Amino acid sequence: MPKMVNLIIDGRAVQVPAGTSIMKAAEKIGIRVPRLCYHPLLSIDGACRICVVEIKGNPKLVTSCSHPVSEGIEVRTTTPEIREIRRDITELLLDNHPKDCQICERDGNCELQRLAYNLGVRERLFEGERKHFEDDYSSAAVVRNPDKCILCHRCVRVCAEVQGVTALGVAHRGFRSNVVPAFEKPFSESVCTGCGQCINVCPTASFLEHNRTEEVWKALADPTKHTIVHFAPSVRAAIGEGFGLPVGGNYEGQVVAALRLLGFEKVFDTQFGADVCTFEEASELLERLEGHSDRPIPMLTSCSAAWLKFIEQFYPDQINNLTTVKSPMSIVSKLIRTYYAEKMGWDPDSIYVVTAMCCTAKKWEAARPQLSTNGHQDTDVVITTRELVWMCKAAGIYLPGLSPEKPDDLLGESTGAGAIYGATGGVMESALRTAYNLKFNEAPPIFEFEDVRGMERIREATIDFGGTELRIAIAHGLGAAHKVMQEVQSGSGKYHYVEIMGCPGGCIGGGGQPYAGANSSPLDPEILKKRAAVLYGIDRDRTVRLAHENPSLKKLYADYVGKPLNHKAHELFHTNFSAKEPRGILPPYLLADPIDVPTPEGRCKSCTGESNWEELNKVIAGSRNDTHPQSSLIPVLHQAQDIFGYLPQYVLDYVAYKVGVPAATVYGVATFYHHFNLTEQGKHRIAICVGTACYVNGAQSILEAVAKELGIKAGETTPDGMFSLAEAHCIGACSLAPAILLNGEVHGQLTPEKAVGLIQNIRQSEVE
Amino acid sequence: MSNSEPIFNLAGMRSKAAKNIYSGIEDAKLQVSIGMATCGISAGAGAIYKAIEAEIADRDDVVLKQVGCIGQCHKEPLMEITAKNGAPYLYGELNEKSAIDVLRRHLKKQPPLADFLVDNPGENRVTIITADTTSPNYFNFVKAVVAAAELRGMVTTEAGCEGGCTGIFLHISPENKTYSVTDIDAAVSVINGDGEKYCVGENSPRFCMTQNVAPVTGLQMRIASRNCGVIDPESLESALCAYAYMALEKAVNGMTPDEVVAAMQESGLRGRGGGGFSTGLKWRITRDVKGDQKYVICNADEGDPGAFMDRNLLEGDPHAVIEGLTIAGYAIGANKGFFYIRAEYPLAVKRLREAIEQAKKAGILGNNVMGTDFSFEIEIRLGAGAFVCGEETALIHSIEGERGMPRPRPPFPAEKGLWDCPTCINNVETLASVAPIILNGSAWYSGIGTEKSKGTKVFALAGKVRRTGLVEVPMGVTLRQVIFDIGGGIRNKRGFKAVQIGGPSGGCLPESLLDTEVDYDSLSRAGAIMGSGGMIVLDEDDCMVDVARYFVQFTQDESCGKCTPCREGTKRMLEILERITEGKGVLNDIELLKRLGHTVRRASLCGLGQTAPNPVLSTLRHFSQEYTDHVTNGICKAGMCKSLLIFKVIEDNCIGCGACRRACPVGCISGEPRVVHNIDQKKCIKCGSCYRVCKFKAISRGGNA
Repeated sequence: MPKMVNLIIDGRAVQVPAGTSIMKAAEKIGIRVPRLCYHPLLSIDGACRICVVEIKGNPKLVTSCSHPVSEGIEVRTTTPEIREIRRDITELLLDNHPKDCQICERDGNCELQRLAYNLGVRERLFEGERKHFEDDYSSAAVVRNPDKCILCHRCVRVCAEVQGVTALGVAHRGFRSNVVPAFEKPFSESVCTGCGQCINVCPTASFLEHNRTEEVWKALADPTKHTIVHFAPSVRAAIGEGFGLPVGGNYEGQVVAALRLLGFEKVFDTQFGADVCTFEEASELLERLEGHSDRPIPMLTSCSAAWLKFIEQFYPDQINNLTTVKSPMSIVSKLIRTYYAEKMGWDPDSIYVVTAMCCTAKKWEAARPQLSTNGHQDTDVVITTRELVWMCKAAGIYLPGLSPEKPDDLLGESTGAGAIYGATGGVMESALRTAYNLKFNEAPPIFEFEDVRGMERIREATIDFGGTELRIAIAHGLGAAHKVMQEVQSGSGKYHYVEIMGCPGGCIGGGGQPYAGANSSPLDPEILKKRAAVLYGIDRDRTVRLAHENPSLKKLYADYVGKPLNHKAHELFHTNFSAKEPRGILPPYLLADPIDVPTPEGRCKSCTGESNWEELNKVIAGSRNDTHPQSSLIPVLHQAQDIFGYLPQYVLDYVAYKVGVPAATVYGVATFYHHFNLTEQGKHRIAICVGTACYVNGAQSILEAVAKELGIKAGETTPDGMFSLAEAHCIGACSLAPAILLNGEVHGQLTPEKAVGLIQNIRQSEVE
Repeated sequence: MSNSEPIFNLAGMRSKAAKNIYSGIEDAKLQVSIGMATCGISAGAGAIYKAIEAEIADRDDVVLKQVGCIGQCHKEPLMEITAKNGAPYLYGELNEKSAIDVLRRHLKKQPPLADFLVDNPGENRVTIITADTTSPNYFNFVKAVVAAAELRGMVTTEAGCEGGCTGIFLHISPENKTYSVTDIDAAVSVINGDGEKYCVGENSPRFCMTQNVAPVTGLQMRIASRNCGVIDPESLESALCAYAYMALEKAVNGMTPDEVVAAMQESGLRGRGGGGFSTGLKWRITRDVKGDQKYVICNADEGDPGAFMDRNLLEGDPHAVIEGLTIAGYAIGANKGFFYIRAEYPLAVKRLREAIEQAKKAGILGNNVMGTDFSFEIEIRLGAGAFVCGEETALIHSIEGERGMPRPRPPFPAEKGLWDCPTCINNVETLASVAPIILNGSAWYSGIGTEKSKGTKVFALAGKVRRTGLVEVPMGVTLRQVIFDIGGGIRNKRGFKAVQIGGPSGGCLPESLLDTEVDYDSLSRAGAIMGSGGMIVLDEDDCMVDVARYFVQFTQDESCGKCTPCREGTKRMLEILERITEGKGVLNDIELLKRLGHTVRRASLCGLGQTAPNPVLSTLRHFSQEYTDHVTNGICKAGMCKSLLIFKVIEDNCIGCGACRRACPVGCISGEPRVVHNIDQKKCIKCGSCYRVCKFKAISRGGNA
């Protein structure tokens, strides 16, 4: 029993366990302190400052998200001062945010907009310069729109803390701060898995799915195309939220009806693919367990697209552990182009396959070269649940009000086992049911494997599998996947079968699901549980709950495939994987021996010197800190800069790999500190001290004169590579003010003329 | 360590060191020391050192050594010469040639080259010589000597001693006699000419190193900077002679950690980095938090533009800071310490690194400090150019290898600091003050200063003041005393306008507040802060709006970007200030500045943001007329804001001398000789050259109004 603490909030007595934040304590009496950067599942950042409150007797305001309660304190959550501060902070955010609410995808669903309304920002008092960065449409899954970023860091935190990917970092600092992938490279070149959790947690529209609805509209209007759609289990469990309805409704039949109304010629169910997937996967599991396969144990599921990219790039040595079965989406799309096209006598190229998914990573999966038929991608376009909601709204279709309809024949029928694919543990549960049946020729004694259900990030269980022990693990959220994979990597043999889902909660928590409404949080486990309950309800209500007993599946195998794992099944339902070497892992050029670094513009000779790399290796080894690896990062960067003269991307990449810190983090650190130069510096380095003593003694005119003489601004290097000019914040030579540093030497008591003279002397000596 | 080796013996080490140093100087006639801190070296001290070294290469009667900051930075490079048993002389603004000239005259026993003497104290003077300026009652002693000497028309100078002699001596010139005086009465009688019985003649002191040989005002009191300019900072022996590590020895051998903490609490020492939190209490809290691993960190990330106290302390006496950190480690139960120091201070880093190595070799650091059970390792971490890393939690993140972004407190570092372990972070000056407190006792320290601000404070005096440099004064002296009595007032005969204290977090105080006492509370009340010790003096040519703009520009550049008010708010404040200094401001801008200033101050995450509006708010408070002048009248009286300046010829005053025409760099002034001249406004770049050269007040630079 934790110690209880009594305090007073806005005049009311509250009792909460010690360690509770003031924010949570206030919620107990029905006050939801306005907030922005706070997220219940993420670490406390305290960055936005919206949630400040007053504690009687405390000279400073405190952030209620971070400040723990203490005995007897009196808190006021709203005072005239706090109201004005909250309003002003919100305006400050708005003033550095595009003024395009009416044409923004999150209009009406934006936390910043909601906050501005609630806090009464009705005029702009402080407007000035707005930041501007380029949008990034490079990723098939996620679009990055940095102009809309308000630097709440939720995306950075979710990517690192929940997903363990760290594709994002904060780069630069102050007003120039920006959330970026490593080296500000396109998202597509980063370690991003496309999971879309950044979209889920973003309070604005700084992250969005790569919207493909225009292409879908076009296809629907094209009379030469057979436009076919199939939709994922989790779409039906969440789409109601997109129409403002409470969490937890089942809209299976309404989704089918809406898709037909939109004009899709055939509507199938991805759950049919889930049943096929289970049939194949369970067979493969038995084959591996019985030692009839050259592939290793544990077998890992592979149907989550974000997880697939994750393992290919972070655990490339483990890709043989993956089941080779494709995802349900790719199975159905493949069957549409082959089995169904043949049945209908359609030219496969006239078929346009759209899938409606809860997922953003599926957009990336659909583009995998392995998933095509005769040069045509099996899935043409993936849209998310949210995109489907928009399409319905655009067409005036109120989906929840439609009469339920059934999907089309052949690929539309599904079992209860297919439905639960959308919840964490569902794939495992479905596969266990079928595997048991296949092995023992009878239905499993229980259908509902309680051990595999739940919302704990990692669940382990030992299942009595007809007398033998089957050790399993389930992880959801890629951060949890790291932990399980470290176990797998260790070769401990702890598991036989592991299910991993990229998103928290599984597909129901996918990056493409409807935004959380006001007063709720994205990724809220309670929301996820309710969505999962919809799927478990569908399972209970289905008469067929074993995947391989799906009548349409039986017909498919009887008419077309034959048996699972046979040649035809492999051709249709199985795929292969390839290890990736994206940025931040180890770029290929750094794997070469000796290191073969491309010289930028052919100028940086020193960077390629083998001895430099040897020296860097020595530095890294000498600075190594086993308990706190990242602690050696800044010392290594200091010395790397001494060796190479600056910190080019390949040096940072190499350091990231060697020190074991994500490249996005290394880039964030390197750009935070002014001492580090990421561009090549001139032969002669001039730093004009603009410390206070120098400033009041005329440093500005010296800076102007030198800048004019060199034809560059502070922070730049002359095109001939001869001079770099910088501003320095106090070099400590205050008594010699105004002073400059020229190649590390102080020159004091300068005038503009003397300073220019120094440069001309260098030029002269260079000529000689 | 093998059993045959003797146990650690600090006293033995010290006497051996004194003997070594003494044997080197025993037969010397002259001792020459050159100030080799960064300021001195950048002004050319290194070359002078080499020149003197060459000059004396073939003689054995001159001893040359390097010392740290002598304090009189405005006269760099500095060289002190002391004849055996003679008065010390401090020379400044030397070059290689003049330094050699100065030395040669001393060797020939000719009168000193008066042109180079710093604040020439003349021949008629009293020099106080002591090895320990931190000994109890020394300050009162100095005051009494200064007063007595003044009555006799004599100037007082002060010299530190490195020879290990004890007690206080007075040297009287031109008589050239030395007296050993134990108390004030004795000193007064010596000065009054009836102290023959105290005369020690030729025997003692053996040899003295000088420090601050400028006239002593009786205002300065050196505790943290006690050895700066006295000892050779690169020599452990030199430091040992100046009592280094005696306090550590006393602590680890004779005091429990709790006693050390109690002594610090009783001393009343408050953090000198700017926050002013009780150092003893900080140690107490960190000591009381449970934890197997604790850390102490010395915050040497001095980032205030215009502040160089910490650098000079580290360059001048690194052992003092190492000793303070080690005592802190002992007191709170930490076996590991860090120095987080600016990479921009290479000399300080080098000397610190060497000093740590020396102390390790001597058995003072490392396993079993001084032969006790207490072990202590020190690691140096370099900052990388981020002012915000002076903030505790940002500094911790930086050591952890993260972006130096602060986090909300609580939890405070004392509970959850470096790698979540209890951590105590103290500033350089704070730690440099620790050893004298342990040695002399907390009562001595708490007897110095004011009721709530104990001890002394080091300031880096810079800007438009005549004597820029490092000063250390007891809390409670007034700003006027620091700026005018110690600093010598404003240079170039300009008028005083304001003093900026505390850098970007501080404020600007006007003449009417010059009698404000230097202590934490008085300065806060006046609208400034104690800060880390930057003190920039501004004269009538400085525009207060522009100074405010300058500081906001600085904080905007240095904002980490984490919290909204600081990142966005300072940007908007800067834009408003830019508008005003460009003559585009409107009256409402002043209200907006106040409102934004309030939001940024109250809502920012860390000290950087919370204090960022101070320069603006303090100038709005004390110099509001200047803001109004800019906004409503379009005038910048100081002539700083170029957009507001219009240089015009005042026809009545112009005699057509042509000086302005010749001075104009862009040739925009025309006029026949002896005829009123004219300025072409389209070509004028507002450099002010004409205004400066005109001897007839015939150029006006008024505003747009």
